Amino acid sequence: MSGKPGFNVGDELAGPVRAITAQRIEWYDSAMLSAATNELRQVGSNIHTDEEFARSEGFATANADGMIMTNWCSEMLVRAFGMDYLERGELRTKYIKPANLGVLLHVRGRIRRGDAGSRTATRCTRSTSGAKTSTARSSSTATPKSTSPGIRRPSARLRNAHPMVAQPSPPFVDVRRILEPRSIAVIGASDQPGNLGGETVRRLLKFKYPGRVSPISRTAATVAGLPCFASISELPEAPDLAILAIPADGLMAAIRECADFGVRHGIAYAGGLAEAGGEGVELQRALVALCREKDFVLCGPNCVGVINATTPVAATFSTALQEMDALRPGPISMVCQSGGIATTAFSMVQQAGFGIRYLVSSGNEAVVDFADYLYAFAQDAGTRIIGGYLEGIADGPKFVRALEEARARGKPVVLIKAGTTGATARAALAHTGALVGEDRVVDAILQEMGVMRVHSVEELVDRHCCCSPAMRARSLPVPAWV
Amino acid sequence: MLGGYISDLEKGDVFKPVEYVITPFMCSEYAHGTEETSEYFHSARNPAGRQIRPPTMIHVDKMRILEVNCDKEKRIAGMKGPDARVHYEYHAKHHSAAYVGEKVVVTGHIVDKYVKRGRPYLWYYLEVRTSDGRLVTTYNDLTVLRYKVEGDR
Repeated sequence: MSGKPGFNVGDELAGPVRAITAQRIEWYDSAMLSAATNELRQVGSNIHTDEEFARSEGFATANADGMIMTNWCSEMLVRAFGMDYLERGELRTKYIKPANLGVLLHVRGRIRRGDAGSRTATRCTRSTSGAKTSTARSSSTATPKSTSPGIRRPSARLRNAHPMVAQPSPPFVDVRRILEPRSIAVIGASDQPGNLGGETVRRLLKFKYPGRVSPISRTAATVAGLPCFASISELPEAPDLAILAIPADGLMAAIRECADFGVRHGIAYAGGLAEAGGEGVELQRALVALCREKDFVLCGPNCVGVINATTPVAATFSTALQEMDALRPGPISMVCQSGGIATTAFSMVQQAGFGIRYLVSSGNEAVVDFADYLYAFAQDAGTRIIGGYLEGIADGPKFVRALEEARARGKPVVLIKAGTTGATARAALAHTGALVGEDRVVDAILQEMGVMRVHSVEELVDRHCCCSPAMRARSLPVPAWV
Repeated sequence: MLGGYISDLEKGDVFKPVEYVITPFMCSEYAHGTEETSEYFHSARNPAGRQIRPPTMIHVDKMRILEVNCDKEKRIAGMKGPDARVHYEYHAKHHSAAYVGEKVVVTGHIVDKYVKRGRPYLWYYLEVRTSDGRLVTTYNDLTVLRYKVEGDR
């Protein structure tokens, strides 16, 4: 059943995530007085602004005016429904508990009905020390003729659901050995022209990867001058990373062999999986199941690999590196669901004279998703600026948690989010198999999390360079691509 | 009873109406105070083509009408009553948008007054219409007149 055009029953709405502060209480109370008198006013003492007075009236401490939360719920509905809400909407809010100073509130909603009532259940939830309780609960309609105007208790599913943000730490995948492998095996390498494994070996050597590189080939004796091994199990020890430069139909066997030998991390270049539909979807599903069973951390498939410009590690077949003699290290880390955009952005940043720390082409993200890399970048001491190209979000709360980590560590995040229109959404589905999600919801999340959303690779690179410490230190002019 | 404290209001009391002209300042200042950045409330550069009164400003209308009808307790003027009140429920239904420059009229009455678990509750019903009669918002509001229960005093 569809909801309001553009929404489906069950869709989540993301509202603001804000803390109750004395400043916000004062803003609201003063604004209310100003709006009532048509002149700038300043609030005086009341239970919201005066702690002593609040205690004398039976409260534990000063607390927020409930209308602050109602307004934050209303803000979410304005974003989602625009004039439909302003002209025909309805918002009913009950204040369940005082929202005291310091609590962090999360506003979120879910489309519960898709008929003329188009009902949305919204909650303003607080989290303190991991415990979450409702502070205000609202129901709203964005189209007329709600047949049941009373507040309904949210469904058990909604009551038990985690809020959009601040879940107990979601299980981020540890990707350090993908970004910083101490030894690498390249499976499917040869010196044949166009062989992706052979290209990868040559990139690793060209950019002076300091660890051991082991080409794996059933037929070749050497690749780029390095001796080959017939199988991964013939290596003297398990490498940190296996690069799977083989077709899709060989991935299952290769991953099983790697995992059985003790390899825990891999990068798969092959396309023809979920993005291709049909049997590719089934193959990717089987791949995910196998990786989970074997505890194998896989980047891709359908990707161009990973570049670490610091170590350096050029674990990629990207032709963008052909014209470069050296990788310029720097504080910018990027993850892109498109390999083409990843390498284009990488080249532009390098040509502009700025450095990259990590560049990840995440591809179909069968096992490791966008949020895992974001989280790793947020925690990485060498990363100061985070960027990315996003087609779809696999796990909303996890994605938000990763952005929270970046924000908490003071690292700006610049993202391109594709799929604004139906056409680009279809393109994204064909490209990496990503379901792009409702753009307005994504936009609200990005805005709330302080992410700089940009709409082109040029803009992405501009923002990165502008945020770079090198730009500020050297007072360089802002680069621009016209 | 009108003319006293808010806690003196009784079921059936009909408020003296309040009317005012919506100004750009009222809308943008209120929106600013709630961190609402939608352009609907800050300028005419939005899909509606006119600056709109934030829908939640109905609560300000409640304050306006109480100010006029309760002589001994005027929150806007800074005159407090004997007890701090607590907003318990907000329920606004929007019938049309109200725009900057329009004159609106706020009317209302007390639907009920009752005590529950030792706390007195007051139920307001308000309507906002433009001066030419177009219905903008209908609003039900439930307020706890005194948060402290009797035994706590």
